[in-house]
Amino acid sequence: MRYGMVIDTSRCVGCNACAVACKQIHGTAPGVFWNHVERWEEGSYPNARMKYQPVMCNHCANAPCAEVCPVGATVVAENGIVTVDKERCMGCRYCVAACPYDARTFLMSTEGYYPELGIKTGFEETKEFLHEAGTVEKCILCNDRIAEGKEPACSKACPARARIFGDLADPTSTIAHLVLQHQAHGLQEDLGTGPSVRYIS
Amino acid sequence: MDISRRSFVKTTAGVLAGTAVAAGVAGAATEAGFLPLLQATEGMFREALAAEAPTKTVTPGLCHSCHFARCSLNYTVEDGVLTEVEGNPNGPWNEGKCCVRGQAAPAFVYNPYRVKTPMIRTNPEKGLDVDPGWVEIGWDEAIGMLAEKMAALRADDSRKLVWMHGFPVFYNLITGMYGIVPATFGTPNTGMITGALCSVHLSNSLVQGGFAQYPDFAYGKYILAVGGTSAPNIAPGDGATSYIVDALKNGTRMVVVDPRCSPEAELGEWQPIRPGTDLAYLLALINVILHEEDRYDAWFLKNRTTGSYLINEAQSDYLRNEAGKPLIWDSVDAAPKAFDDPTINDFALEGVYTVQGEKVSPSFHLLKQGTTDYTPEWAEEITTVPAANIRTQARDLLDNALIGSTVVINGNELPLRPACVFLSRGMTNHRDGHVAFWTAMLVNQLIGAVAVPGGNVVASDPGALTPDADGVVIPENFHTRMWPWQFPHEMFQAQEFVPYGFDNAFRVNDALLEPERYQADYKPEMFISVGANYFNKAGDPERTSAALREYQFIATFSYHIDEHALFADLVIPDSTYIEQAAVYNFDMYRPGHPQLVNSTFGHKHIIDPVFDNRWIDEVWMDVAERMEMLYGPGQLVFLTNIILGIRPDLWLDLGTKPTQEEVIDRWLRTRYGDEMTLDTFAETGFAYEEVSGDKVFNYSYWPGSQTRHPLFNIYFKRAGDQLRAGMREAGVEHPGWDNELIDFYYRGIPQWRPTHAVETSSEFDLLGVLYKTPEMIFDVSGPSGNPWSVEAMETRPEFGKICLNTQTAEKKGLAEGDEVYVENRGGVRIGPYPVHTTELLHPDCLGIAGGNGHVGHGINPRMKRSIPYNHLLSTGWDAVDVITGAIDTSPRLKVTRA
Repeated sequence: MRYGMVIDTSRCVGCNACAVACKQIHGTAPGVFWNHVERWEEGSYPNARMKYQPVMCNHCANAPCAEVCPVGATVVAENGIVTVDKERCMGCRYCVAACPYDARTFLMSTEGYYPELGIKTGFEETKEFLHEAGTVEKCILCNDRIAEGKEPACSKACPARARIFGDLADPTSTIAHLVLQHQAHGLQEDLGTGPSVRYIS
Repeated sequence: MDISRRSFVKTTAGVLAGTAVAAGVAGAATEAGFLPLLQATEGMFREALAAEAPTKTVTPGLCHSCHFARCSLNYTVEDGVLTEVEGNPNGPWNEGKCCVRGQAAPAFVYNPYRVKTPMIRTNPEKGLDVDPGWVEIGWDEAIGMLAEKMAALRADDSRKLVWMHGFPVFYNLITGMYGIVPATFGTPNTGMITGALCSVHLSNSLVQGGFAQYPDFAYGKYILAVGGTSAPNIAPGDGATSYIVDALKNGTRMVVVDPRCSPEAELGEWQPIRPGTDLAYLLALINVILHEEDRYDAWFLKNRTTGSYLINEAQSDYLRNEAGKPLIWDSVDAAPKAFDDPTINDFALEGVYTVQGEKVSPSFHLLKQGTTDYTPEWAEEITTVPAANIRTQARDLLDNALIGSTVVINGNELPLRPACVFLSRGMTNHRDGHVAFWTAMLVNQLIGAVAVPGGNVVASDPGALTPDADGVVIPENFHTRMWPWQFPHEMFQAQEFVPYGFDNAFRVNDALLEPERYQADYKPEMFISVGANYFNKAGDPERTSAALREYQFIATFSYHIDEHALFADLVIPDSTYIEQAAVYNFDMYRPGHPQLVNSTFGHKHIIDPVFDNRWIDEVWMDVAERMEMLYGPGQLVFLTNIILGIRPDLWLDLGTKPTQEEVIDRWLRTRYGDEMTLDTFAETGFAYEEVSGDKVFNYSYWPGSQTRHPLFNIYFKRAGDQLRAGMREAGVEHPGWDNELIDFYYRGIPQWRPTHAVETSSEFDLLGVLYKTPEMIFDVSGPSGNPWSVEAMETRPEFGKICLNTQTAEKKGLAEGDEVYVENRGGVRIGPYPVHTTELLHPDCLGIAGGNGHVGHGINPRMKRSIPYNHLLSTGWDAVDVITGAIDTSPRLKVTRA
């Protein structure tokens, strides 16, 4: 089993539904997006186009972040999902430096969105146990939702159906078919990381 | 201590109110405005949580994070707190999807900058930068104050109340779109605040009797999208985004004619155009179709339009026989005949004939003659669209329309026209916007692509194409109400001066400041706004401010402190759709699932009110009760029954105050039958009906020549005639337009004249373009103050910046990040803001993403991150659409380095 995601950038409209779905489900801190949309222009007027590429943790098979973690906080689970045990993480940030995808965030504080008012909202209160200041965090491919039989929040939300979640190791799965059919590529594959997030463009 | 969240919050608010008064809030309120009170509420969430027993529920409900509410979401509530939102897989429209706005719902609800309890001002001076000195008061006092003032005004002159509502409260049956409160009160001075920025309904309603037009993607193969927005640009979760993406990937071509390269243009093809010049472009399309290609759908024109109707010499009406029936020319018998004469051999579309002593022609002939000079080369000068492209696009329309083809759907053979022009707000909100809209619908008529598979369609509606005595589609839609001339004027703003005006709410301000121009014999004294804000839904902020100071009393229902609240005497907290029972009906075509009609979404409340806010309709019933406007014939419950069309046996008792849930229950049972109680409805969160695939297309209800779309614009012509006659009879002058202007635009065949879009101005050399983004559309659910929405917007390189085409910026010596001011010709200046250079914008434009910026004392600081584009708009009579009075959203602007 190897959970992963195919992102069809030819369908993506850059709407940020995935980014905010993730933020909402996980209650991430101000300024932290476990996944976000990168965008850039190509070409010149009037033949220019905006290009979109959603990016997230690639849940690498050969995860450099796990390799450098001195305390074994980052591990690659049997289902392929790379997780961080915040109880073990000591905040050394080796993994942040090692990740070629810039997918990790060192959480300086768990301050909420309204520090100027000195309060946390009811929503923030209920989600704060998910985060620990002084540790590193990132996309967990909604492993808690997957355990409940759901798909990750980002792919569930995507209005353009640009994200397809599934088991890359199951040759009968939709995602495996898409990877084969479109020769879906990973980001910086030459690094040998074996990313589980593949792109169709 | 056994205490519920609600009682805790109420207790807290009461204590706070007492504390605030004792401490002298006016003195305590600083730049932070009402924030000291907020700070005192620290801990309310935590303590309330601890007090409640652990629970977890998942409830389906509507999403009202945009102007529509057709997505069904599942709301997870844990221990009384909304913790998760995701699409409901059973949702008939969204099928489990949820857009960026819906996802941001928790941050919308749990926003400490919300108005939490009723407040009054202690500082009589009103202004955007003036501290109102808020003091919290209890609900009883607030309702009593409102009821007392409203009752006194109603006894004096009910016309003196101005009531404005907007999208944000549309999930309330009584307070929302149906206007029941002002109707009961008895004021004609009511409107919807957003209408003047979104006049996208009139011409379509006139041509095919429906509220909103769409391209039929199910059969469509070529869509010429003029003026911008379709689903990918705002990325709703309602199915339209994925459906359009599917269509484009499967070979449907979509050419987006727009100053900005939008996401759908990126998926399809982008044809840049100078803003506000769409009319010239569309006229040139007709020129190519009729004069160069000489190809059109003659069958459709003869049988489905008034193209064959003879127009009298004055071009004011159809030429009629003694029975009053419109005449056509039978080209075989060489004789005039009534349009429905069974002996007609063939309808002449061209020629000049002498009938009843007049030289007359079919309307098609007049259209052809009237477009002779509008060549692609002529249009290129105006629009900057290369003539070759205009020719190609016209030919592509013709080629893809497959004129003469049919398709069998559900055993019913229908015309198939898989090509059309699709219109958006970007083309209608200009000086000649609705003449352009009408012209686009002419293009669709010429290729036979109206109300048929593949063409320009509206929601499935058996009655939409019902013909009148002239055989022409009856324009039955509230957008097509032509205001009859009345003098003295019905509305304070004298809507008669714009006969097809729709929600020209801003014009009230004009009339307040210059009543003599509007022949007013009274002056409004009270202003109530619910979900409405002139400052980001109109223009001219200084003029708006001056007008608001004219009122003796202003009450506003506000989600947060915004510009309107800063002028209010009484601020009432708004309730989000999540904290109360909500319902929303939506009868529209659903791309990808077109059989769906009459959809309704809603829920009982998902969570208790987070603060001391209350359900909106119930507040209004309390106010009405206190001012003796609730019970008995003609009062609020009575008019609720009438206006909502409640089935007689389900009528709400005229002597009993209903709950908001009871009103929804009666309304649901009326629409869907007795089985659809609110309890039943709430289990799924939606109700809908389905029709067969052929009935999706209104052609199927009125096939063949049973009804006709108007090719000759008899409506505009009649409106102009009525306007001039009315003014002449009353001896008054139009407050803004001369007769020559009216004559030019209010006519049966469209024609073009220069507007400010093509003026040569070395100083104000740019044309403004505001474009929607998924995170910020319409400001319905407070996105400009929602921290998640703002952060998502910040991932866009243009957010909070002034976008200029790269070459335009270079010519001005500006580079990315340079700070500039933006100024309009009225002297309004905003900024400084950084420049963003882009290749995705027409060189003549100044683009702003999202808009909806707010200004003012003590507002949520995030709301100032967005740019208040509307401040650059003028509401002057020279800056509005001549047909609908809608605000031109592309003013001439200049930038200056800060």
